[in-house]
Amino acid sequence: MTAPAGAAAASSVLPAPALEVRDLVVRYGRGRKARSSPPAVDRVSFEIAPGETLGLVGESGSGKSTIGKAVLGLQPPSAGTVRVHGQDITGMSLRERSRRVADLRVVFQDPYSSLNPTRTIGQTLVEPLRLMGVTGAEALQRARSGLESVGLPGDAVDRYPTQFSGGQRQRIAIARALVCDPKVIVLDEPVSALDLSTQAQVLNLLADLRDQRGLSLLFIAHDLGVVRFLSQRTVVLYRGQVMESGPAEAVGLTPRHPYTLALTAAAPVPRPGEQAARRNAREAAGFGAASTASPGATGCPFVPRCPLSTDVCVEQRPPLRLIDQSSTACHHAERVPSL
Amino acid sequence: MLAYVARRLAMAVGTVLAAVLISFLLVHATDTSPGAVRLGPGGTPERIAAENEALGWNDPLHVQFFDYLGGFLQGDLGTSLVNGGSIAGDLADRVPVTAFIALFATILSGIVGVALGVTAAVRGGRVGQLITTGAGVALSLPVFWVGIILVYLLAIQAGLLPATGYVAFADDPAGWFRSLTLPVLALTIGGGAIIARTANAGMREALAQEHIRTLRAMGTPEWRVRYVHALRFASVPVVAVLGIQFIALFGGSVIIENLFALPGLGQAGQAAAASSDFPALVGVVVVATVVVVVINLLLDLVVAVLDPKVRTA
Amino acid sequence: MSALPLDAAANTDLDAGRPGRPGRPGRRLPYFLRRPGGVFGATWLAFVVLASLTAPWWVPYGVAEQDLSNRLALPSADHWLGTDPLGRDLLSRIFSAGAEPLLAAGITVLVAFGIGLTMALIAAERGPRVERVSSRLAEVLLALPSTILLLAVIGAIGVRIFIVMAVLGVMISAGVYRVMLGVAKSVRQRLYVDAARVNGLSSLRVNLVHVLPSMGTVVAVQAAQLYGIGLLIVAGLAFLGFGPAEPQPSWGFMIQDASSYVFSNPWLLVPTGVVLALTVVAANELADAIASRGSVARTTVRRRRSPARVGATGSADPRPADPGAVLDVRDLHISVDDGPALVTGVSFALQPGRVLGLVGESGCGKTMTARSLMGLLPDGVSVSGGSIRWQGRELVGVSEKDLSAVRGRDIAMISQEPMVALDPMFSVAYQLTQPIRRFRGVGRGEARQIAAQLLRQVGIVDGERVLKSYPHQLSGGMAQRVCIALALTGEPRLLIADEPTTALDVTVQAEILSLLRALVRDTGLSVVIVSHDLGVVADICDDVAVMYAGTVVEDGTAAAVLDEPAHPYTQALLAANPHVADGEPVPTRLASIDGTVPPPGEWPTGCRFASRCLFAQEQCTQRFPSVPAHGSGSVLCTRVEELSRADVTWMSAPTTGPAGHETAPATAQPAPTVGVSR
Repeated sequence: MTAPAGAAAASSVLPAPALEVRDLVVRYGRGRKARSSPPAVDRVSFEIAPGETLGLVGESGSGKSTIGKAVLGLQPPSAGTVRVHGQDITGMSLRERSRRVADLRVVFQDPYSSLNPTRTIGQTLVEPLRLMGVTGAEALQRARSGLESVGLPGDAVDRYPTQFSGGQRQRIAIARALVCDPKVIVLDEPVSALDLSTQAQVLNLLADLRDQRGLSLLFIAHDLGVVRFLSQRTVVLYRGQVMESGPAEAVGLTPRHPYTLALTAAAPVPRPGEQAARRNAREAAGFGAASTASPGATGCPFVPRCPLSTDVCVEQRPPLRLIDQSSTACHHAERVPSL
Repeated sequence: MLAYVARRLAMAVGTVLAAVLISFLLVHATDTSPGAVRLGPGGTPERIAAENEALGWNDPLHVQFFDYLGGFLQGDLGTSLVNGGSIAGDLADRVPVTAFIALFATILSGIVGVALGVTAAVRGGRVGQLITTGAGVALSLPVFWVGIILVYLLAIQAGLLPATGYVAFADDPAGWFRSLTLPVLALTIGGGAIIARTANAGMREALAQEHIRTLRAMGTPEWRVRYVHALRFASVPVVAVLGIQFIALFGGSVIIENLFALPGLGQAGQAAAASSDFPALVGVVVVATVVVVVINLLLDLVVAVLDPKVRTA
Repeated sequence: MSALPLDAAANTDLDAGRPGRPGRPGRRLPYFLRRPGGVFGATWLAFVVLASLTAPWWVPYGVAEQDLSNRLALPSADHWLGTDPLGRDLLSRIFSAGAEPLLAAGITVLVAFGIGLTMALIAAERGPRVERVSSRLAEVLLALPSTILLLAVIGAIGVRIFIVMAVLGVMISAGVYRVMLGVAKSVRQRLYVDAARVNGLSSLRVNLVHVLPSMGTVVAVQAAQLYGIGLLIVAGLAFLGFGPAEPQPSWGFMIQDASSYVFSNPWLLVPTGVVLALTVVAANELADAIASRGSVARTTVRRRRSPARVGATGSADPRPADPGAVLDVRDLHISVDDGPALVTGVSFALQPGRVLGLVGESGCGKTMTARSLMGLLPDGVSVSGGSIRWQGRELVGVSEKDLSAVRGRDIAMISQEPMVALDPMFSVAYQLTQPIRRFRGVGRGEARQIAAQLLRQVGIVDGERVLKSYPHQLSGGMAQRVCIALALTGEPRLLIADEPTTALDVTVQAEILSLLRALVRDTGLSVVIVSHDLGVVADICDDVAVMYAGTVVEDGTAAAVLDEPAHPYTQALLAANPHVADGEPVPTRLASIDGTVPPPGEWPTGCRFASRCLFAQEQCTQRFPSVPAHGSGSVLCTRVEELSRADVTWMSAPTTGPAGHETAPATAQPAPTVGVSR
């Protein structure tokens, strides 16, 4: 599979993308059984320019979190490469990564389990700094200013996670990622466990930090609306494969893949009148139920649910091709209706 | 299901092999020798060496091991160093005694324990507190001490049961039953307490499950919620602990047989250990393991019947 | 001899550190010393260990010192605990015998944990392949009759008790491994472990700093239990004669000795037996006390709730009774028994065939309100006032029996976690036919046909296959459909749906919402749906009640409330939603609300939203009534008319600066612990 053409164009302008993932394949388990079942991530490629935010969207089982884990080194990929600023880190151990490429960090979904309840906020924030060789006093100072940069008081270093609300904990988790001054942050569903008002606070904070510090973000989420708010580009995944990728605006407004359309159409908007119209449009489009049988080994994974599918979709896996601004993996991209 | 049974069966065979291997290596780690044991204090070094040679003690370990394994598969466990009798024959008489005690004690522990544990979970409050505290104390009591106290209370003071001794089933079925009652009771006090705690915890966990709320929201009668749905959920850990319990009670019978003068496996084990009768020791370990493994295999099947996740895996 | 299994009752309470605040170390007593069992256990163990180790210096008599004129004596001034058959002092012998079992049992614990815990940590870290091998090994070791194997050890190497007990430790390590593996795996799943690994912490440090401390409670519990088991085994071996040789005393052999005199001198049994038993009880009590952390003594009993003050008020609600309503809730109050209120003054009415949404953030009382409608509040929480009228019949204060006649038949419920809402031990067919037979009085065969038909009704095509399946074989969307079919078995008139789609993917959510809408259309069902998602509300609800901090702040038809929100909180919720309608630009920053929902018990008088509201003024801290709005609805805001005249909304108001939203310092503001909703 070739790289999305849009991304390729971007990379010709900027010599080394902040994060580059090429032909990534991840299989869980091993042995005959694992080889016969479809991989969790199947030949996924994307790159993120410095200061750019890429949204990785998909439902459960799409492989989006697995990609995050593979990028971070928590899950060894079966094939493909991961590069940070042009440096290949695919085979590097976690320790090696932290020593040699200290600018890749993570914020996880669940703010309750992402902070060790037996350690103070200070201990949690200082930990990565000490590993980088920062001395005690300076590390603590950086921890304090890290907390302040996410809108928390510096003296929170002496407290324990249980003393903070969900939103505050997520700010702490962001501070932990920031103290090392990374260039790339993987955000694995950073707001999906939060309430609406807190979610807005954290999203605004992330947008501010990205703009102030020129961060590159890999933003993993199931919610197209949230992704559209924060990302410049969006990659839509289904069963481990890229369905569509392109500018966030284009992917959100003019989907070029039936799955993107299904995803967009299913997300309800808080306006009863307009939502009724969207619902009718969605029901008229005739998508198959999500619980229908799994797809065959060849062809497009969305075939069983796709109203546009024909024989060619069953036989051939569609390659990514550029239509308008987005690349899409659909044989019938031209026939995808607008919303 | 078939794969599950096959896996359990393989585990069982593996366990027996491990028991043979471990006990075999153990007796070879000794600083004495079978010749010395057989000849007793009168044996000169030369005669001991000759005896050891005759017994095959000096053969390479793997040769001895496979010899033993071959014999074991044909039901031959060798002869005793002390009295020269067939070990297999001796143990064949003893296994039923121990097996019945352990089996009865396990079953009774299960019944008493589940009844108490479920009551504690369902009733809660002071009754629950009393049961759980009582169980905590009961499982801490040394079985031999409990046994003696039971003898004192039930045999000596009340005169209800014989204090010690064993009556063969063939001789007098009622007497057999009476002779096993005290030992079984003594084992049940601790065993029942452990089951009671497991059942209590399992039942409390079960009653806190989301699907129990669904049942209540459907207006399901409370007895059905508790004794069909929650109890079924709690039964899986209970059965698992029963299996381990049987192993423990089987081991515990060594002490109880000593106390009540019962001619079981444990008594043979104690005698063999005291006299360093190596073939008899290995025999006891192997036979005990076989019994334990068979019972646990049966309980694995019970788990499979109870738990659809196991069955449909 | 106690059983070897590590007690499953005291199982893996992992949440060390989660409940309560970590106290300052050294200031207060450890939590387990604040329970009587813990105090007893720790005190007695400390006493026995100390007394036994120092025995040579304080015991009144030598262990072999005979007082032949005083054989088998009862306690006296000379011999506090009496004497044995040779006239030796029992007190002196008991405590002189103590050191060996106490140390030997300790060795067993150390060896068992040294091997078992280490192996568990390694297996948890290395993953399934290593785990499979080590678990098989442990399983074999566990299935061996350990006491009998110990006899073989003794037969081979003689009575070297410390070595024998170390061997026992090796065998028991399999049990330790099994318990610890489960705990270690669940700790490793926590994200802070992954975060530490991404930070580049070495595997040893990850285990020592992040995994082990979270296992501390379980380790302590198991160690204390195992210590008791070790003691029993040392004593048991000595009882069999495999202990120190006479005249050296041992607890086990002293009891063996006493057993010969049980006819004539039963007292002899008491001192040694009691000391041994108390020591083991102490170890187990200590274990229980340690395990008590986190497991708040919760009674599983469904208490008859105290009858609420029915119809005490009603006057607070300005609206007249609604004659056409199937469900009429008035001035509902729900509170923790002897605790703060969770819901106050909630009123709403539901017409047949309509869908009402209760919407708000977590901790606002939506779920409690919904659950109270069926009398299914959690233990310790009850309706403390107001009325719930179902087709004219009062449901507050009626008996559990009368309520259960309503449940399933009149009112049914579906919950937010379909995967755990079905009983994992029974087939779908059983779970559906059982209530069908109860509600409809039909036979087995007919019930199965009805079940199949219900599955078709909820859009399941291969009903027969689903009927034969067990819950773990279903996907989330499929499970929710089965739950809906289950709810329909009693042909209810009202369905309560608590976040029915929150756990589902968005495309599945759309399917479930379509299904619910079809059911309402086809059967005239009324629905109360609890959701935090305004989009879901817009999609399915006819009416909506926005809840904040236990009360309804705005209600009316969904179209009116969502399109023209009057309450600042409703406006703020809508403004914070990143889902923009088509054609509207994506905002560069979302409107947000400072702070968090105040937990129950900390609600201010007057407007509960005031502290977070952009428009709050002095008057908002006073009590005020709600005002009619949106035709049949109401708004609980004292400035609502003022704001609407000035045409000020949350969206148009200037927002706070970047990155400093949460101006309120992180004062201890624990998440509300009582609320069940999420």
